[in-house]
Amino acid sequence: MPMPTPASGDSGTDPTPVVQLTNLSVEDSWKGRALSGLNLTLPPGAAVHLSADNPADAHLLLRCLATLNWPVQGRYRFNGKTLPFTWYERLLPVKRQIGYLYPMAAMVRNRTVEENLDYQAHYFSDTDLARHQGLKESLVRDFGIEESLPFCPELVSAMEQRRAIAVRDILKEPLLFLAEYPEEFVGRGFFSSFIGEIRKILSRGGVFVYTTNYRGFGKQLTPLDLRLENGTLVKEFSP
Amino acid sequence: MNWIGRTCGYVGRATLDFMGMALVRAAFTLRILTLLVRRPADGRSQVKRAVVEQIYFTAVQALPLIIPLALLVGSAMIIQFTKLSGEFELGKAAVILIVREIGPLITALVVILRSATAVTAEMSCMTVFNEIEALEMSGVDPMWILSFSRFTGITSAVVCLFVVFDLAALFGGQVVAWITTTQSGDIFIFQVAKAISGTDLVVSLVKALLFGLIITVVSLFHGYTTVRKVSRIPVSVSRASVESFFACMFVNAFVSIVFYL
Repeated sequence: MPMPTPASGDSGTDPTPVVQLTNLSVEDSWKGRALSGLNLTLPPGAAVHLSADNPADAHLLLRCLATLNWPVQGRYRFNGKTLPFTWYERLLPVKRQIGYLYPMAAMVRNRTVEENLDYQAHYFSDTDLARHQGLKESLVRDFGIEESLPFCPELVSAMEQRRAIAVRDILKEPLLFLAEYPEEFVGRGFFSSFIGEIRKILSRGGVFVYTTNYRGFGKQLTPLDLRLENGTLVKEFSP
Repeated sequence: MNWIGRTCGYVGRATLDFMGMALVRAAFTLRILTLLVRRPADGRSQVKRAVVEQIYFTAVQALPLIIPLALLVGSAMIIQFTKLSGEFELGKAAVILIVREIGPLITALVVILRSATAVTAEMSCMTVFNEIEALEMSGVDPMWILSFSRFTGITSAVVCLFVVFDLAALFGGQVVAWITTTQSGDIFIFQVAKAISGTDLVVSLVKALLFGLIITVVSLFHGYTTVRKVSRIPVSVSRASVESFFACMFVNAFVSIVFYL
C-alpha cells in the first residue's frame, strides 16, 4: 500500500509533517464502521480533499485526526510527536491546535456567542488577549455575526450559529484544520472569507483536510485528493 | 439443586455488577479529587465563577425552601416528642433526631430534588448535544471546568444548608416548646446545649460532606455517561436522583453505626 504523501513544496530540508499516520486502525463501535491500515503523511501547507465510498468513513477518519476517536492500532504523530492515546488530558494541548467543523459541532448553550468565542482565550493563561480581541473583531465582521454576539446560541439562526462555530475554530489559529462540508457552515455569501482564512492557515504551515459537495472548492485551493474505499486509503491524485 | 446454582449465579452476578459500579464511581471521584491537589493553572477564573454560581443555585436559592421546611420539621418533632415523653428531655430528643439524623438527610433530599436533578440534566444535555466535545476540542478540561466546580460548589452548599436547617429546626422546636409546654422559654435551648456533644457536630458535618460528595459524583457520572439520545436524559436524571438518595441513606446509617453503636 503506497503511503499518500503530498509534495511538501520545500526544495531543501524536509519539514516535520503536521500529521503522520502509520498503520493506523480506528473503529466506530456505534456505527459499526472501521478503518484499517491507514498510512498518511501531511506536510505543512497541505490542503487535502478527502472523499470516501461511504461518508461515515471520511467522518471517522476526520474524528480520528481530531483525536476524538482513538485508534485501536498504529501510530499517530502530530507535529513530530507521537500522540499518547492513554489519557484524555494529555491530548487536550493537541486538541487546542486542531480546528474541526463537523455537522454535530456545538457551542456551549448557557453562554453567549461572544463568550463562546472568548472561552478558550480566557481559559488559557498564555493567551495574548489583545491579539485575540483584534482577530475576533475582524473575523466577526468578515463572517457577519456581529449581531449574534450578545445572544445565546439557541437564540440566533442556525446559519449564524454555524458561522460562529467556524469563527471560533479559526480563532484558535489551528495547525490542523478539519472541515466536513464547510460550505454548509459558511454559506456561499461568506465563502471567500473562509477561503481567505484557510489560505492564512496554510501559509502559516498548517494543514487543511476537508470533505465537500461543492466542486468549486478544489479550484480555490488546488488540494491533494485522498480517497477512502472499503475502510482504507486507496488512491492519491496529485493536484 | 438446579435452582441453588441459578440463585448463586444470580447473587454472584449482582455482586460483581455492584462492585463494578462502585469501583467506577470511586475512580471518577478520585479523578475529581486529584484536581483538588493538582489545581491546574489554566481556567481558574472560570472555575471560580462556576463555583460561586453553583453555591448560589444550590445554597442561596434553596433557603426559601429549606428554612420553612426546617421550621415545620422541628416543630412537628417537638410536638410528637412532647406527647411521648411528657415534656421530659425535649432538648436531648431534638439533638438526637434533628442534628444527628433528620437534618443531614432532609438537607440531602432537598439538594437531590433541586440540584442533583438539575446538574444531571445539564450534564446529560451537554453530553448529548456535543457541548462537552466542543469544550475538549478547545483544549479545555471538562473535568476541571465542569466537574470540579460543581463538586466544590455543591459540597460546600450542602454543608451550609445543613447548618441552616439545624438552626431553623431547633428554633422551630424552641417556639413550639415555649407555646405548648409549661417549660420556661430558655429551658429547651439549655437542654439542647447540654445534650449536644463535639461528636454530634463532627458526625453531622461528616455526613453533610459525604452527602455533598455522593450527590455531586453520582449526578456528574450519570450526566457524563448518558447515551447519545435525548430520550435517555430523563432516564439519567431519574437514576441519578434515586441512586443519590439510596447512597445517602446507606452512608447515613453507616456513619451513625460507626460513631454511636
